[in-house]
Amino acid sequence: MRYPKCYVCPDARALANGERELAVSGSRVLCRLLAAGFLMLLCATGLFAPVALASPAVFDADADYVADDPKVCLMCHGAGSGMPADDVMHGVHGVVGNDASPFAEGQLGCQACHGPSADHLGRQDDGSRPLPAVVFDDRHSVEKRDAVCLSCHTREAGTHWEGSLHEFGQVSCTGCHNVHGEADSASTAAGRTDQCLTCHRQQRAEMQQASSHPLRSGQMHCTDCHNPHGGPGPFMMPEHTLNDQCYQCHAEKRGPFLWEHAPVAEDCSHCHRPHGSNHRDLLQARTPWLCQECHMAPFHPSSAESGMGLPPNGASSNLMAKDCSNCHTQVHGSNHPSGSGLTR
Amino acid sequence: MNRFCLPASIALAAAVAASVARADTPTGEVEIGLGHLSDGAYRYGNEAGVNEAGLAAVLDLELNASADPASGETGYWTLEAKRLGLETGRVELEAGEQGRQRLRLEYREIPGYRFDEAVTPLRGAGTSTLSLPPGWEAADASTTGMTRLEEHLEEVNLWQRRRSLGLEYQRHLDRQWTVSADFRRQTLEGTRVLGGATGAHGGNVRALLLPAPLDYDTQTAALAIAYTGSGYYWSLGYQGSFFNNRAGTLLWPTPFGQHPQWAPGTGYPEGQNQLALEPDNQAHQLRANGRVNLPGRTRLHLDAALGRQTQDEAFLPYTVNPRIDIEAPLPRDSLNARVDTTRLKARLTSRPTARLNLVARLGYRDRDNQTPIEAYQRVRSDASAQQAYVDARLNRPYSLTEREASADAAYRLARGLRLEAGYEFTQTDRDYSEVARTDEHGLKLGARSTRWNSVALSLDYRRLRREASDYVGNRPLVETHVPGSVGEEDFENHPLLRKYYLTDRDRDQWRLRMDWYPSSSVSVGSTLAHNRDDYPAGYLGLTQAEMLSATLDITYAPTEDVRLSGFVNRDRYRRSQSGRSFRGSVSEDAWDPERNWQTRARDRFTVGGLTVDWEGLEPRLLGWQPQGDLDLSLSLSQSRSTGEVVTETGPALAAAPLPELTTRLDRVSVQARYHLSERSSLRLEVERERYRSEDFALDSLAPDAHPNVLLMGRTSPAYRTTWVVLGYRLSF
Repeated sequence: MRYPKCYVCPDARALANGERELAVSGSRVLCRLLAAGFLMLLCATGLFAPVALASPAVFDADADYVADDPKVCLMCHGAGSGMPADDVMHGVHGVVGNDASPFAEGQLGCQACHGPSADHLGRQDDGSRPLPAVVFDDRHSVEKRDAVCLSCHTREAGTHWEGSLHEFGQVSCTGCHNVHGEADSASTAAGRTDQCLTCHRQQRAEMQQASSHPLRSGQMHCTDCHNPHGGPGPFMMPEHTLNDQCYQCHAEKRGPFLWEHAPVAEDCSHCHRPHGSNHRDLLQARTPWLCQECHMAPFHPSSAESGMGLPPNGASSNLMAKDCSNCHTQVHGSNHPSGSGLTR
Repeated sequence: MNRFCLPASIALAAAVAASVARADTPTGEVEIGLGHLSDGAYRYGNEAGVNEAGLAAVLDLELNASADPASGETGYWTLEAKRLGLETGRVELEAGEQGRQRLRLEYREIPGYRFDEAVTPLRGAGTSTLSLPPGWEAADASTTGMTRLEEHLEEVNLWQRRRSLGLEYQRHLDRQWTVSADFRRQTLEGTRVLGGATGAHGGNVRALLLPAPLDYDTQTAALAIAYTGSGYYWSLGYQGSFFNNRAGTLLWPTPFGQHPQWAPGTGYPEGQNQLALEPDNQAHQLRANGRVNLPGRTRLHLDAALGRQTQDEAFLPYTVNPRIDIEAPLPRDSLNARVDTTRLKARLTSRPTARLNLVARLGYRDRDNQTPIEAYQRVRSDASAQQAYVDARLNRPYSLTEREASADAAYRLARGLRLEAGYEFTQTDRDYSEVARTDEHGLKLGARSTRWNSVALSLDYRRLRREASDYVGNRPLVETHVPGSVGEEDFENHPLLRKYYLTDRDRDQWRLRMDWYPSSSVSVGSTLAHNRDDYPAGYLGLTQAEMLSATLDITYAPTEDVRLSGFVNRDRYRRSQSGRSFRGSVSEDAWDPERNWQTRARDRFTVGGLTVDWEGLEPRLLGWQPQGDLDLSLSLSQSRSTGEVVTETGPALAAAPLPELTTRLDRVSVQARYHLSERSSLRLEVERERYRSEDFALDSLAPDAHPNVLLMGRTSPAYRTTWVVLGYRLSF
C-alpha cells in the first residue's frame, strides 16, 4: 500500500509519492532568483536552469507501509518491551499540532522516519524479521540515515551541512541528536559541550590547561564559536574568518587602528591558541620568545633572554612581569598619534 | 550592564512567551542551596563563581511547560536558571510554538579573577585617571629613587566580569519563508593591568604597571530572511556590531624623577602620560547564502558577505605634557579609518555514486584597508621633544587578499573501509609586508575502517608546503618612514630574520584514532596526533614547532544505573628558535655569529579524570535502611603542566638556566543526592580543589625589583579550598 497523503516538507512530499524529479516552473524560479540575488549568477552562467531537479530517493517507492502506525509499531516497541520506542511520542517529534511532525494528522508516524515497513511485520526464512526501511544504527549507511533527517530538517541543518567536516567525516545526525528521548541533550547548552567532547578528546584536554576559555565551568560552549552543522569559516565557524569569529566577543580588537599590528589584523591564531595554553592569554608560546620570533631589532628586541635576566643574576624587563608588554601594551593596535611602537 | 536590562528583557520575553505558548501547567524543579567556601581562593571564582570564604546561597531553577503532544497544541516554554546567587549565574528562557516560532533569551556572567593582592602606589585603580599619593618622593629616574614606595603601596585586585544578554527570535512564516532576529549586548568591566611606558633616553624606557579600567559595551544585531524551496534555499541577512569603550583614555603621572635627557618638566612631579585605550568602532555586514540542487546528486552552495569596519574616534594630542612644544599639529583630528571586507565561499558537493562523495571549494577573502595615510610627528613616551618631519612615522593600513581552492574525495569500499584524499591551495597577497605573496599547497590522505564490529579505526595524514615570494626584510621600515629618510640598505629587524607566518614552511600532520567496543558495556578510545612545522634553515626566528598528543578514554557502564568513565591525556609542545643579539651602536654585532643564541621551549601537559556515577543506591546505615534512594557521583581530575625554556648562546654572550614553569590543579568532587520522596531530594556536594603554579616572571619579584620598571608584586596563584553545598530540591 502506498501511503495516500503527503509529507509536509517539500522535498519529502515528493519523495513519499515516489517522485524522483521535482519539476519547477521557470518563471517561479526566476522570480526567486531575483529576490535572492546570488542565483542570478548561476542563471547567467548556465549552471542553473529551470530543469527537472534530481533528488535522492530516501525510501523505496514500491514498498508498502503499515496501515495503523503507530499502534501496530507500539505493539512490539511500547513501554516495557525489549526495544521500547514509545518515548518518541513524548518529545518534539510527537507534537501532533505541528503539521510537520511525524505523528501529525496525515503523516506517516514511525514510518515517516523508518520508511515503509510492512515487510518488518513478517518473518524471514531464518525466523528473523526484515529490517524496517531505515534503522538508525550501523546496519544502514550514514548517508541513508541522514537523508531521512534532512528530508524535513534542511532549514535546521542550514546551508553548510553538505561538505562540512562533520558531514564529510560521516558524523551522522543521530550521532549527536537523540531523536527518541523526551529531550535532546545536544540541543541544550551543557549537553552540546559534553556531546562535542566525546569525540574531540584533544580539545577536552586543552580546556584543562592553565589558560583557557571558560568551557570547563560551562560559561562558554563549543557552539559559541563553532556550528556543528557547518559554516563558511574554518573549523565550522559561522563567521567567514577566524578573526571575524573572535570579534564576536572581542570587538575591541577589531579596530581599525591607526597603528596596526600586521599579524593581528590577519589571523588571531598567529599568536593565540583558542582551546588552551600553558601561557598567559592563550598564547602559542611564552613571551618574550613569541615576540622574538618576529621582532629582532637592535638592543632589547634581539637580546638573548635567559636566567641572566632574573635576580640575583640581573634584571631584564623582557622577562619580568608582562615582559614585552611592560611597555608595548597595545599589541592589538594603538590609536594614539604617538603610539607607532604600540606603547600608547 | 544596565541593571534594568536583564529584568526588562526577561519581562519582555515572558510576555511574548505567554502570548505564544498556550501550554499546560509548568513542571520542573527548583533547588535552593547553601554553600560554604572554606578558604578564600581568588581564582577559584573563575569557575565556581565564589571565591571569598564564607556562606553563599545558590538557586537552580528549571521549568518546562508544554501542551500534551497529542492535544494538538504546539506551545511550549522552558526556563533554566543555574547558579543564581553566584557570579557564574546563567539564565536561559525559550518559548515558542513547535514548527512555527521560537524566542530565546540568554543571560550569562563570566568572571575573570586574575590576581588579588597586587600592589601599586597609584590611586584611582580601575578609573581613567590615576594619581600618586601625597608625599611621593622620586630622588632619581629609577625605582630605587622611590624612597617612600613601600609605605605608599596599596593592594589592588585585578579582575573582569563579562555579562552577556542575548535575545533571538525566529519565525517560520510558512513552509518556505523564515525570518530571524538576534540582538545581543555584552559588557566587560573590571580592572586590568596594563604596562605604561614613560620617559626614554637612548633605548632605555621607564615603565610601570597600571591598574587600568576595563569598561566595554558591545551591541550586535543580526537580521535575516530565508526561503526554502523545492531543491534550493537562500537567505539574506544583515549583521551590525557596535563597540563602545566607556573608558577610552588612561591618564597617569610619572612616578620617576626627572632624567636629564628627558624633556624638561616630564619627570615627577610635573610629568603626565596618556594612553589611548581601544577606540569605539563599528562593523556592518550584508550576507547572502544559498544552496541549489543540480543534476546528478550535486549541490552548489554559496555564501557571500560584504562588510565595512569603521573607526573615527577623536585623536588624543601627541602628548599630554604642556611643557613639550608641539610645533607640527596633528595631520587630522581623527583617523576616519575604514576597512572594506569581501568574503565569498562556494562549495560544490556531489555523490555521483552511493560510494563516492566529492567536495570542491573556492574561497575569497579580501581586507581592503582604505584608512588614509599621514605622517605623524610623534612625542615618544610623553617625555621627548616632538620629532622632526623627517623622523615622522607613516601609518600602515594593512590590506590582505586570500584565495583558496580545495577538493576532497571519499570512496567507500566494501566491508567498512573508506578512503579519503584531498588537495588544498591557499594564496595570500599582503601589502606593507616583507613578503608580497605566499602560496601554500596541501595534500590530505585518510582511511577509516569499521570492518570489524567492535573496532573503528581512522588514520589521517596532511602535508602542507608554503612558499613565500622574495623576503624584503626592511620593507616595513622603508614604507613607514618619510620617503628618502631611510636608506635602501637600512634595517630594523635583522636581515636574516624570517617571520614565521610569512616564510616558507613545511607542515606535516597525522592523526590515528581507534575506538574499541569489547562488549556492550565497555568502550575504549584512543587518539594519537602529531604536528610538525619546519622553517628554512640558516635564518633567524622560529625554526621548528612540534606537537605530540595522546589520549586514552575508557567507559564502563555495567547497568543503566552505573557508569564509570576515565581519561588520560599527554601533550607535548616544542618550539625552537634562533636569534642574534646585536646593538645598533656597534655595527659589527649584526654580522657576528658569536652573538647568536638558540632557545628551545618545551611544554608538557598531563591531564586525567575519573568519574563514577551510581544511581538508585539503597543506603543502609547501622542496620537502619531509609526508604529513599541515593544517587552518588564521584569525580577526580588532575592537570599538570611544566614549561622549560633553555637558551644557549654563542661565546660573545652569557646565559643561565631559567626556572621551570609549573601549574598543578587537583580536584575531587563528591555529590550525593538522597531522594526523600518522588518530588523532593537533598543534595550534598563537596568539592576540594588545589592549585599551585610557579612563574619566574612573577614570583619573588618585589615592585622595585627592576630599576626601570615599577612592578605590581604579583605572585603566581596558589590555593586550597573546599566548597560544600547542601541543597533541597523540589520537583513539581
